[in-house]
Amino acid sequence: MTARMRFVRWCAVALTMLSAAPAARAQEHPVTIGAAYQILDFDDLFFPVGVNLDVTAAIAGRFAVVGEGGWSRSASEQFGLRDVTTAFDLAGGVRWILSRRRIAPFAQFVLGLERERIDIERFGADTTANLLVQPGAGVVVRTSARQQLFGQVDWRHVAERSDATNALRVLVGLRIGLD
Amino acid sequence: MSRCARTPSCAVRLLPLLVAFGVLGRPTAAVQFSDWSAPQNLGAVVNSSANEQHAALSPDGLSLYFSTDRSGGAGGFDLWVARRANPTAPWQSPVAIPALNSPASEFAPAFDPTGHWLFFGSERDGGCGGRDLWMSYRANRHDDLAWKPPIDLGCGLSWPGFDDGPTYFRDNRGVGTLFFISDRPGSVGGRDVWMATHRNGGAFGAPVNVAELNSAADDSRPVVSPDGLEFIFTSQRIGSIPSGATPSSDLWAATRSSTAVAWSAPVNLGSLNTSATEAAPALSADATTLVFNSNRAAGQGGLDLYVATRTKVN
Repeated sequence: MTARMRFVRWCAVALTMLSAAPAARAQEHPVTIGAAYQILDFDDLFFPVGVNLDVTAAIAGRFAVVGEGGWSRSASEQFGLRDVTTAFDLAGGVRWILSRRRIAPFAQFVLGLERERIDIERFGADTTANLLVQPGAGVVVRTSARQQLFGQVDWRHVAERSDATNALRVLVGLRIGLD
Repeated sequence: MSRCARTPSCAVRLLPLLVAFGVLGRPTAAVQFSDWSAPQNLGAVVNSSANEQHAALSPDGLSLYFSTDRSGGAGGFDLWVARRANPTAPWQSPVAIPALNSPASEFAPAFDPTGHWLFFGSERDGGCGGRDLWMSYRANRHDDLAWKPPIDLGCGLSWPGFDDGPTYFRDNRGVGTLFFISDRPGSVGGRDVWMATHRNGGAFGAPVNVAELNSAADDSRPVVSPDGLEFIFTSQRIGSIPSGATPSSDLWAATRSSTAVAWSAPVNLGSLNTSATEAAPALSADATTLVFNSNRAAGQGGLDLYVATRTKVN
């Protein structure tokens, strides 16, 4: 078993154990929506521009289900040819909110799909779609009863046949609670 | 995807760190290898009674590309590929690569280190005349039939005469070098080794004759090792094993201690050569496997592909 597989399995086990923990505080709003600026740094491809939207719905205890969609763009040159790569992702999973204090950490684990479109001058475009696994954690700062600023760092693992690539994702954004 | 891959941006972004830790600007320690093993014919699955020549090994070592004039192609010499399940498995029967071939001839495929890009020579229409340098791209580096329609590298690199035998490497500063063969004006004699560089994904600059590798005879069909420190090529210079009264086509090698210095004087790779033709070497990504073509006795007919191996000793 590779280190990556062990890490993914560890995350799944940890989430399962956490979900069995006694519920202390629920997410304060039944639903939140969020928007964030994101950067993605893969092994050798950097996406400096991106956005991410997420929706959460509170479930038992400190947990919420989360769904998110992201878009990132990278432009470069290869052999003098303009290369634009665009990555879309859709993922869903669980978020664990650790506290209801003004500054509170959270962790999440999502699974989903990443679709990448590579458009190289004179060669045209190609698309690929691959599974992604993405554990991460962050901090929210509650700025009002409904508004939260948040920062988040994720590790994204994208599997492609015998290849796999990993990325660090960093987000900064705003979430709004809906009752 | 394998973004590693597709761009040198990582190396560029890491440049300050590399400088800080002294990785750049100092000679690269060359890997030491054992001698090459005795060459083995790749057998009747890969070779045929036609010519098989100009091999290239994919970076993952699972695909063997070569040029052949066997029947079943698009015309003339075409690019074919044989695959294997793992690096120790036997090669499977080769197939033509329709996306790369034309009714004219295609020769001398060479991968970039990522496996997404392929350079080769072709006499098809659309270049600068004669034989020119072309390249293609594939998004999925495991799909040998998914190449995009090739584009010519332009008249900045090619000229109306002969340009062929590309081989490419990129250093950790994002500088890529394409070595190739040309008989353009400025050559030392016959066909010579030329090189063009680019930086961080930009276009190639003007070609320069690599004078220290060239001779008055034909010098052709090279391969540069992935670290850029070893250069193996074909030459009929004095010192090659004679075939009758003239030197035969042999494999020669030059090395350098870093990519910033000139190549050493080429030496004949004696144990690999015979008085027959040995030519067009290809190296595996770890530089321990060499595939070349030869018409030595006891082959399948015409030029055949042979393999020799060596081990790292440090």
